Amino acid sequence: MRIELGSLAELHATTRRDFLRLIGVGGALVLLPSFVTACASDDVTGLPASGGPFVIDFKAGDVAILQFAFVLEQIEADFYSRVVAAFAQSNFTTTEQALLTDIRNHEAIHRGFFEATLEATPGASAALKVTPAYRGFAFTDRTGVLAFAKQIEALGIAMYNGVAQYVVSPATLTLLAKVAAVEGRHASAIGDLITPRTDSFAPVATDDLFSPAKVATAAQSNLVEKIGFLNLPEGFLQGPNGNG
Amino acid sequence: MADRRSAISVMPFTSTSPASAGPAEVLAALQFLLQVEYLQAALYAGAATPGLVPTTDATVYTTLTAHSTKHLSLITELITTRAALPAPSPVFDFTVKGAFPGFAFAAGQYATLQMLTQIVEDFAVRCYLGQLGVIAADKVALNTVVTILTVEARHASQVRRLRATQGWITGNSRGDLPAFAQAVYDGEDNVQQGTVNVTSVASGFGEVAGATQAFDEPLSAAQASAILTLFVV
Repeated sequence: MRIELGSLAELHATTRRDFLRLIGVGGALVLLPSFVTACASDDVTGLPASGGPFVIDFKAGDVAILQFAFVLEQIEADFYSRVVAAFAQSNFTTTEQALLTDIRNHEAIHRGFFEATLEATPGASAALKVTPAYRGFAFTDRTGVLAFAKQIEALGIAMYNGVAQYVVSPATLTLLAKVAAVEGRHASAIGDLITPRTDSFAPVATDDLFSPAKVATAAQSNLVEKIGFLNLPEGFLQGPNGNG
Repeated sequence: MADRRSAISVMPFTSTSPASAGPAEVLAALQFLLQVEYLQAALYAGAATPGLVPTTDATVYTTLTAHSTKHLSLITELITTRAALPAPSPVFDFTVKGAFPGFAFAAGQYATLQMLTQIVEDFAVRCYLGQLGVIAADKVALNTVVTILTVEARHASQVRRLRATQGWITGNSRGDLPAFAQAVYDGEDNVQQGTVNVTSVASGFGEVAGATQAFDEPLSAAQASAILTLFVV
């Protein structure tokens, strides 16, 4: 059975049961293949979407949103960790290394925060890990690293902005926004490293706000697991940029 | 002048976020954010004085000004489309009751302008964060407000780095800013995020400093109003 992004949301209940039975974890919320240890090399952990399905069920409410944020934070933390680990061979200045190390720290803390939050959520059992994929990405190349960093920070911001409309608890909404604001601080720093003292620290007056499906499609190219959704909320309200 | 005072006090809601805020609470939150946008608009209007911002930073300030104008119009529009009248702008005093004596947006006062910009942008981030819980009741308003919030954070990061400060806030440090600015940073040293004390996941990742940098913190309406009052004539 092929599982396509977006198609899961349209499955009927019986079909969903069939689907869960088919892949052998009836009733489980999220499905993972046996976890593959990260490769020793810095380049390839696996091909994007080559792994098992990773399904987020929005029936779980705010927990699903925390799971989704956890996926992106895992990619970000893993990416910057690899960048920092490659400093000895890369062409970043000392100042840039310090800045990227700070960002690595923040992303690792975000990752740890979502993991701990999900583990402490009754009945969630949902702090499931993903395997980021990079397709031979050169972690030592300043230009490439900054371009990827810019992309992943913007995607994180658009994700947080896009899920806000679905969050039920005001406290959770604020928590997510506290993280999103710091992603904004990162995006600014990265943009300014790429083209200093231009408008690249904040290219538009309002940041993007993407639907979960749009975010997942973009994130898929850096995920071994095949991400999918169940019970996506009906309706998506666009943000000011109208491109979500 | 009477208008200005009433504008500042137009916040009947409490600092706690009710799970089900009504249209009146949403409007009050938007009116408050409008005050924050007026503050920024006034700052950037002053920054346009010829010779104040050096040419190396001119594009950054042009960008900040353009975004500020856009944010002001977006918040104004959210208020008018909810059949309310936007409160008028207060008259602002950027000497901040004498904390920056003689500051008049004059050529040669760029260092002070930079300090003010950092204070105002870091303040704006915390003001937006503080109103989200209430604005959540209105999804159209929420979608605009969250996309402004992350841009305010981009601005804050940039203006901090322009003056050789890290783009993120460590602990509750105001750095080299004058004492009045401490209120803008108080509470930024929080490490309890929901159910998690994030120092527990910060080992090897910047420890307590990293844990405080990784999250921005909201200001309650009462805290934010008290700070805003410092800037009002």
